[in-house]
Amino acid sequence: MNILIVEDEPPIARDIEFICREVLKDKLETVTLQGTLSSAKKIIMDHKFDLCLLDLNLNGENGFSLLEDITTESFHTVIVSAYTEKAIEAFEYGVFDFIAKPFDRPRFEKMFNRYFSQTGKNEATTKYLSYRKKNETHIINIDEIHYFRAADTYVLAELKNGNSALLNKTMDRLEQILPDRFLRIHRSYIVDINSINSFGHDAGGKYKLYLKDNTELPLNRKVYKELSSRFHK
Amino acid sequence: MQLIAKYITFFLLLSFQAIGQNYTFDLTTENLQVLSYFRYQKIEAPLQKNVPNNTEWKAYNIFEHPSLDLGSFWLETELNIIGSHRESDVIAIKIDGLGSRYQIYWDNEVIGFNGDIDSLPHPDIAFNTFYLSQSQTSAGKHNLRILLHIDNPKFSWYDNSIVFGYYSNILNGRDEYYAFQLGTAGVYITAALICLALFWGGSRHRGYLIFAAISLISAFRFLEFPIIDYLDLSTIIFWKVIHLDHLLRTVFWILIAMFVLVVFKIPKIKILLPILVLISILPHFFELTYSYYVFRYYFISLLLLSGLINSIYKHIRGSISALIGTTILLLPLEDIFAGIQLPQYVESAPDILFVFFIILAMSQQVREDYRLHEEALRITHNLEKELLRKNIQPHFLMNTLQSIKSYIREKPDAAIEFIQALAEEFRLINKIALESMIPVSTEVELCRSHLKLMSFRKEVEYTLNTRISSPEERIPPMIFHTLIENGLTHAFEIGESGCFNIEQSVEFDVIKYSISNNGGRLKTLENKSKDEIEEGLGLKYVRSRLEENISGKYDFDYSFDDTLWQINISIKR
Repeated sequence: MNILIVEDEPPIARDIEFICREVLKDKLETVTLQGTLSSAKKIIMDHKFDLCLLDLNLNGENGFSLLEDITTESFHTVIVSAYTEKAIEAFEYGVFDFIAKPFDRPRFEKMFNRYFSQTGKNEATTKYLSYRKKNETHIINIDEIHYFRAADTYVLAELKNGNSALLNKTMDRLEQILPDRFLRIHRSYIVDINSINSFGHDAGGKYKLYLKDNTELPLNRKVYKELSSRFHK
Repeated sequence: MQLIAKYITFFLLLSFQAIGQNYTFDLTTENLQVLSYFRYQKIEAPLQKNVPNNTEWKAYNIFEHPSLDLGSFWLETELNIIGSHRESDVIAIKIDGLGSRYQIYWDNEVIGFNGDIDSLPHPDIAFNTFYLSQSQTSAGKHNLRILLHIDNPKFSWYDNSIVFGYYSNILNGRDEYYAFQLGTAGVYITAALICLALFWGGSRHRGYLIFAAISLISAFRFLEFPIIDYLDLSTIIFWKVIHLDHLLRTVFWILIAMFVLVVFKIPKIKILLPILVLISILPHFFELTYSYYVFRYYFISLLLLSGLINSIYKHIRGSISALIGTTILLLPLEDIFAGIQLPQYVESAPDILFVFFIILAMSQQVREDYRLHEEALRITHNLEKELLRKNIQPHFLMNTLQSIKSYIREKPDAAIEFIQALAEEFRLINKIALESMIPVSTEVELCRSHLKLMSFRKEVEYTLNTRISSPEERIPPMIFHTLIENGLTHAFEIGESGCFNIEQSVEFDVIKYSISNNGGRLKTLENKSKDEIEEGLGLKYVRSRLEENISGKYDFDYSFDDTLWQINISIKR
């Protein structure tokens, strides 16, 4: 696992690194320390990271503009900050977790456990997703999203207004930060339960799901059963 | 303006049956006849023996400025008297102005004079009344002639007036005139007293003081003639009265302009005011033509009205009321209604309305000031809470504690020192947080402990150089501390050590402070505008703290460029 720590106070950065090493042991491949967001951004371009641990208050830089920026990346972002009053807002921007300072080792263990558990759905409160288009960061409200579709290693968010946005996240990571009402109906599809119209299977035995605007999507058999028990009780 | 006035006068006079140089006076009415249209001809000395040449008359209106040069003139008009006399009253001719030596002829007979027409400069009397017996004013055509010798170039400046009628009516007219003069003066005196009381007893709004002065000057202008009459100074020479009146008028307009410029925050006041004063007082040192006065009137009017419109545009409270008041005052009533004897209340009305609108404007401003003051107090209060919390609130404390945790693991000895610095900072903040002014030495101590603490946190060396000659001078608390926090946030690169300077210099009663640093990150700040940096909470706090504690006695400015971050604060003792 490759971790990027963005923190402007060296003692704290080293403390984070120390705890990560203790918790992850062999799973940890590299730790990169950066003091500013601009230097962090440069590093991101050349290196692959799995997780970014980010201090919200970096030497006078506005925490949220950098949050909008950093959440466009493919990796998960965990905020490590003393500004606990910003936690709710941070979650709305799709961060994976928010660790308040001063932190301790158990808090990091909890975060890493959730990171490694594929099924571990949390009470994510993400409201916005950010994406990068023509080198500019854009924000979309997830209420505007119809469904998500895998596109290579990325995810395409199909918007209700007919446009689509290419997110720099994998389906797995996206699933982890989406609120409960988003359901992974297929290896390549995530839909908002509220926009499901009907589901069933065709003559050929293929499971299908129809959205309210009649979009037809493939449905995983396991999810079909789950949905059936949920809706036909 | 004069042209318009002329036309208005012309049409109004049509209805007064007083066209040309012939007037009709009805003895059975109570009216006073204003005589303004004359014929004139210029004559050569010796004056007395000179008889008008009936072919050389030109038209002359005594309200008109300026039409007669220096020299001697015959003025003539004809009065057709009709009806019969009432008992025990005489007819009189009242002449105000005509600031020169003259002799009055009634039907070719001298009935009075002002000064000695033949001798060289001789005192001229400002106001004269000449009487005519009943037999002299029997029904029929009569001839009024004035032999006028003008030896003063300012002749035409004064509002001349010649009135014909029963003497008792002239007296009544005068009494009515004085009643309104005194009444208006009373309004101004009351306004002056109220403004003075508001100034001394309430908010020290400069506008009150200026307006009190304006009101006193105005009151005096309205009292001029009643005083002259009351003290029986009617023989006071004409030019003294006129000079006094002009001087008062000049001071009055300078004060009005000052009032508008100061109270309504007109931009470029430091340039406009001296120009205005210069233009206003010029005629008191040089002989200038009447048109200069016209120019002065237009200049002041334009300045005031455009200034006030600008203030309205900028939403300065009270400027609409002030514009209405000033416009009413600036209306050239005397020109618009030249030749018409206006009822006295019409002549007093502009001044009374002016006082009303200006006081209204000032009270609107005071209310606005009060609101802003409340607002400032509220902001400071919030900032204070914010600031107090800044050091006791989670992020500062938690970050510091997190850092200490790391030190304990890595360098326990340094951790002890670190904790000591944190304790010291808290101790100082608790000591000063509730004070309104603290010795500069305490503030420096606080800055030093903050920099020490931040050196631990950032693992760099921040130093503080000070040059303080009077450590006991007082400043509002946490100003330098806030500025240093601000500097730490914006001026330094990660891992960059640096140096702050706090310097104090004393110049007479002004203590100057400069807080600076040489952080390496300033270069990257270059493209950020000053305003953008100013938005920060820190500078806002400093400004409002200074405003709250030493309003009007401080100067605060700052400069950020690629080599120096510097803040200058001057405080008047």
